[in-house]
Amino acid sequence: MDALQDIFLSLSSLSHLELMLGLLITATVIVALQDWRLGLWALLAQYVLVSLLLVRVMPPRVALVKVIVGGLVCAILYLTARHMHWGREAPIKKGYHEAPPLPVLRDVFTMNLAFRLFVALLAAMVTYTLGTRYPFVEQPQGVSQACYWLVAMGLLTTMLTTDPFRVGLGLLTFEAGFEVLFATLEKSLSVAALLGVVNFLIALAIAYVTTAQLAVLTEEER
Amino acid sequence: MMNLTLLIFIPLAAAVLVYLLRRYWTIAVFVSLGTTLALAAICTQVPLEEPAHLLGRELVLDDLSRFILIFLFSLASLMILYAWQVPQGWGFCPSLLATLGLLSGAMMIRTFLIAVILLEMAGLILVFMIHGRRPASVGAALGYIVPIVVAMPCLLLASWLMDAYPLQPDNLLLVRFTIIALSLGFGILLAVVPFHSWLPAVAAEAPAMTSASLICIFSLASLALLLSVLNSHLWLMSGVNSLSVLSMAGLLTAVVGGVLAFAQRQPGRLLAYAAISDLGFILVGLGTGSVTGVAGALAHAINRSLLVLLVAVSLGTLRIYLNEGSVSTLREALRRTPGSITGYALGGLALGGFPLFNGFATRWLIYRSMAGINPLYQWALLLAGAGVVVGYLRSLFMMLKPSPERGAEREPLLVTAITLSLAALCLLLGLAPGLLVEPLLNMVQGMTIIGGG
Repeated sequence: MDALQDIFLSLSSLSHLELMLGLLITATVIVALQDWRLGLWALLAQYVLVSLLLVRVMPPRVALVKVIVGGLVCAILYLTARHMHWGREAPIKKGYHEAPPLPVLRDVFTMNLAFRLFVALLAAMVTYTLGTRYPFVEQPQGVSQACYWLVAMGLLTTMLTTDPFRVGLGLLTFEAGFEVLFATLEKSLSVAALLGVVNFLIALAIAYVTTAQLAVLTEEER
Repeated sequence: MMNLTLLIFIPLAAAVLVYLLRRYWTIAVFVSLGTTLALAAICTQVPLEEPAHLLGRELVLDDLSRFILIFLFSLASLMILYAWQVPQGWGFCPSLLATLGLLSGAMMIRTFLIAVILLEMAGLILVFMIHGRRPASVGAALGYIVPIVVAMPCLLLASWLMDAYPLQPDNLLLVRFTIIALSLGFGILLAVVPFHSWLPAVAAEAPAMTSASLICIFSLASLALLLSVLNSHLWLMSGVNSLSVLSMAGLLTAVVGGVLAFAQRQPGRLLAYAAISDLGFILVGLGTGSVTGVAGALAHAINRSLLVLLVAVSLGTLRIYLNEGSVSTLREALRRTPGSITGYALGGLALGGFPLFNGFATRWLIYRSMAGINPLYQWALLLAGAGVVVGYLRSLFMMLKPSPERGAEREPLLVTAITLSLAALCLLLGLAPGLLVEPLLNMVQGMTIIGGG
């Protein structure tokens, strides 16, 4: 725990600009790229960056709790993805794993990479303007922008997909954005812990729905 | 001496135990049933207004919270008993118990911030009920999770704004923002129009007891929390009057719910729209800010839960028989599923406010509390109720279409007994509404919400 805290504190010397740039990249990866591994890594990095941003407004140990919660959330989602056998070339031939592959969703508009990147760019411009003109809190710098950015990207990710796993990534991003704001308003450990449990429950719910999707497809196949 | 924290931790611990016992269904059911009955007994024994502490925050059980909690535990007992006969999926009993524990905490804790987080947790745990014995569509589950997650920040923001109010009591903008945040948050959680679309989607796909848990238990606890917020923050009634926001939202919800119920043919969605329309009546009653209106609204919320449970129990059984194609004519239906067909017909009529039933009795109180308000509103509410009644009559006739297959078993005797007992209780409360309204009238007398403070 102490070693983890030392690493965490050494990273906290990053400037708010570097942290914002990091959040810009991670949220864009979540909204724009379809690969679940990249999405999960981006989510984990996002939890770390958000916690580093929060070190300026709350005790480091409380901020570290958020990193640990993020790690657990990503572990749950990773195990779910493995359970679904995503990313394995040779399907297992027996029993449960004979389920058909997930269908490709055909949307009204082609929401391809270019479209998603364009939307992310627009969102970045809007949230930067909002965060600068109407900041929730003046200090520390970057908190309002980060909050607007993560909330917007979380909602966008949720709206642009019907895949439960990706909706989950969006919801967790939305939640992280809100926690950035709320941490500046309410700094108690009990609230941080309860919000951590909420994150954990969201991840479990998403894991449950993602797994159930397989059962739905299997039944439809029959 | 009984401690209030028992009401939170016993169901949470029992939920873990029941989850582990899920393969031994009968044992799991009886552990769950024992837990809910024990909780109801504990609730009657704990001293009122004597605080306990959780996470450094005060827990208090007042008269109204105790009444509602005992009611919720009793409803949960009936649901569990029904699930014993008509299984609702492995997740039902543990999720219900965990939800009950968290909702008890949300209703007792004095800090709104923590109450909101506990409510959100309870809402998220209900997700594990959505897939019953057969998987529901992923869209329904996601359509539930997303609004639940989005509602929490609105309410947390409202809690922060409410804490900030004493520092800036003249700030009208702050009051407006608080009301907006509260309206959004509770609007989503309660499925108030236009944030209602998640409830019909879930009710169409999920097992009947999941819909019942959402409407009868989660929604009632959310309403209690809303009332407690309005009651403890008098300033919400100044400047921008939150009571008029409640009234208008209620009117819109009742009318839209009634119209959509009239047009609906899918029984699960019909139940959801009927419940949404009924919620509108409750909000209108609360919005009047009179003793009659608030007591009527609370009594109607209790009646709504009873009626929704009655219809859900009936629908859950009928779904099985419909799938097997055995219910073909009214005579056949009355022979094989006497409880369910009676419960469905009576519950549907009562949900629409048909005379003689409890739904009508408490609606009447709400109509009376609206004296002096535009009579057009009363007519609109009356028509909303008629929409629900017509929707149910049509649904009943559609269920009884001739079917080529015969020979399914009769519904279990326990299910018949549960359904008919619920129907009898609804009739009794309709004929003698004072049994429910009188104690509630005494409880709301001292509320600051009365007369807009």
